[in-house]
Amino acid sequence: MGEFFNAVFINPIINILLVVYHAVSFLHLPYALGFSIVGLTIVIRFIIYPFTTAQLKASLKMQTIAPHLSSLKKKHKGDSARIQQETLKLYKEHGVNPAAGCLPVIIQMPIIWALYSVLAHIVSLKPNVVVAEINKIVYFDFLKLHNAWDPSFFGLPLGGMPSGLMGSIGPLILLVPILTGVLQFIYSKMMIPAKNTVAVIEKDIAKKGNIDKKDASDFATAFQTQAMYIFPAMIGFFSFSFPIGLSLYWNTFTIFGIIQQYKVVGLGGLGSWIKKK
Amino acid sequence: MKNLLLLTINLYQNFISVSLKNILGVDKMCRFSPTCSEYAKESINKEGIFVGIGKSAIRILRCQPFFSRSESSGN
Repeated sequence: MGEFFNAVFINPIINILLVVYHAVSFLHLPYALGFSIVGLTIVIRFIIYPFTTAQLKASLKMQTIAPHLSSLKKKHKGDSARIQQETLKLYKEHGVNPAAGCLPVIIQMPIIWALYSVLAHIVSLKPNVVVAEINKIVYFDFLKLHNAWDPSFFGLPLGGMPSGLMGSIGPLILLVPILTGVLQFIYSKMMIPAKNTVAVIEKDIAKKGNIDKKDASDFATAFQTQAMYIFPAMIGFFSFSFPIGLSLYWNTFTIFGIIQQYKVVGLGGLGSWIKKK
Repeated sequence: MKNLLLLTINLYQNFISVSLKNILGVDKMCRFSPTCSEYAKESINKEGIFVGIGKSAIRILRCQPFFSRSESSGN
């Protein structure tokens, strides 16, 4: 299984990384490895772009019909055949085509995971073994490395962790996890539908006081709103204890995601905040 | 055993699923309603572990492009 994953995901990604690395080096940019991580992430994001877009669009449509769906369920409670029929009708009316199903997720997840493992491996390589390790994996001779790369990015070691750098660099290094958490928060915030929908659901729960089984999914939505704060904090914490090269990957990934989200569905939950100001 | 299973599903819903959604930036990613995990919880509760798991597995397998009839309640 490990071999298979390496052959299908890890090694191709390392080869793409080397292509980017040689391009960056050719341009004589400093910090070639750091910029290669950014470049590689953008390349991968473009590869999965159509899947992400399809998913975002489907998700947006599902959000708009969700209130109709739940009222429909209340109306025909117990009559599952009828509910099914009406739901189909609703899907057709709004042009929802949930045909893709879980496929986009199943395609994207291993790629995102592979990118993570490649970079975790790359930034942890000691300078004296980099050349030998990389040259074992590359497919073509022209991709081979001749000397070790510069493992720093604007003075920060890509393989170092903010938690370990506190001593040498000082508390300023905390900006890395903070920035990572903030960007993740913006991304998560955009993903939540415009505020009023969530507020209605929350009020609904508050009104009933007790949450019975039927409202479990509404409760899950409310929980997800909480998660919007918890998840970015978690990512910020990870960023604190993971190599900086991985934070660089994650932030590039998130910024690309924010731009894509904005282009496809707009500001989402962020809209109400920006308008207020 | 049953409770353990339900607890696992709850953990998935509250932790893994939420993380996945945040990583991919989507809010609702299901073609089915209730979601597969919710459906699994209900059917395991109602019909026992074996039937429940079986039904849930079939439902998850139907979540792909080659299953063209977009049924929603999935019963």
